[in-house]
Amino acid sequence: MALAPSDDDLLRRFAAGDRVALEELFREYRLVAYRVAYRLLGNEADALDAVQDGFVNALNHMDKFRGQSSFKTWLMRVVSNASLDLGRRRKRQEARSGGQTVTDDTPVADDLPGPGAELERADLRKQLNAALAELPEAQRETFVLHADGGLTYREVADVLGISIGTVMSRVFYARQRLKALLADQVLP
Amino acid sequence: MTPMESPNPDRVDAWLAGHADWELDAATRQRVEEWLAADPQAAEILRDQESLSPRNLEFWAAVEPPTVSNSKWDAVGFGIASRCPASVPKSIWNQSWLKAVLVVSVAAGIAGVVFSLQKLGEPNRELAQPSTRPTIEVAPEPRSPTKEDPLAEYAVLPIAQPGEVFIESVRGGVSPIVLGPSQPVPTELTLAGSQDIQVESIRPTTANGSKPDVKVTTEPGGVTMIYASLPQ
Repeated sequence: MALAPSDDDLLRRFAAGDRVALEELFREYRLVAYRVAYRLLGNEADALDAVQDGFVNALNHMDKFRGQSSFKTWLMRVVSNASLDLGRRRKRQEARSGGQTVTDDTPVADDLPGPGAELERADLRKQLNAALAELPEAQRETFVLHADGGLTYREVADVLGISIGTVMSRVFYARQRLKALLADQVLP
Repeated sequence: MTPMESPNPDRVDAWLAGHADWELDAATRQRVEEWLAADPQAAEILRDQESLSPRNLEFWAAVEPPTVSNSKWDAVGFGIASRCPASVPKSIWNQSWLKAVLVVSVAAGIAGVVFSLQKLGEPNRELAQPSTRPTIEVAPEPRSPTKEDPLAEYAVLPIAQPGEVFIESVRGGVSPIVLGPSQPVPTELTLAGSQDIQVESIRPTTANGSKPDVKVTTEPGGVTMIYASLPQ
């Protein structure tokens, strides 16, 4: 059985102009990138825009990556930055247009909750999104990179350029705040 | 578990987050567990931390972002591919000569565009000024031009120089040499009569349809007014 190519192999092939390698990298990391972007932005359309911007920036600025960390952590860093940039732009637009926020409160075609559990699930997701939006940006980013990006404390510390102790503190405070904001929700 | 080189949160209760995520080294974990055994409030905080930890798979499955359709993923993938040009290997790109060539090429391209735009804004000199070559002055200003024939006093009338015109035809009679109709004159123009010129040689029309090559000299004065035709 053939082994899946490593990220380094795929990046080398991409640098040599191999478009298939680009597709493989995208398939490998699109879901985790989407989770992070979605949780930082709160809606699918913006999250997909941030995923696209993140991949483009990560791949077009590989000279800044230099292989010091894994491609995944590099990508998470760029996607996270792209999401926060987009979020700030949306807030400015929102302020200019009188406070209309783009969220997934109005379900799109592929996000229509079914009866029962699906409805509950969509509701809990919205509650979490709303609670996350209440957190300070640094706490939210740290928490999301760990919880949705699947990065260890060490990796989050590398991505954000902070100490592991600071990561631990931010995650702790973020959870305490989220727990209070989601107090009326029955967490599994 | 990720080994913790320096688990140094600003408050010790933040270690509960590390404990919930299994991010503490064995020694620190042991200290936290001793603390938890002695402090029920800390144990409650730990449960809160664990409920929002990635290890609580049930919670994170319940808040999973909406599923993205294949068509939307395809659109995102296409957008990425179109914005990530077929890559130039870094080792080549980093060579300064390649950058220099590209910079010069771009600069030349910009200069070409600017020049073209300037030319578009000017009248067509080729049409407005048929010839920039100096005209040979062989006749004085007419002293008393008549209304009937303003050129009557010119013995030799320079029209053009060799290379500027071709001779359209050679006829017999009083108008053997006819110029045009083409630039620099818009219509057929009689140059001289048979009494004024002498045809030295005529090469017949070639097989590929080129005009006849005619060599003439003017009389009187011997000034070459029109020397030869140009194959078209």
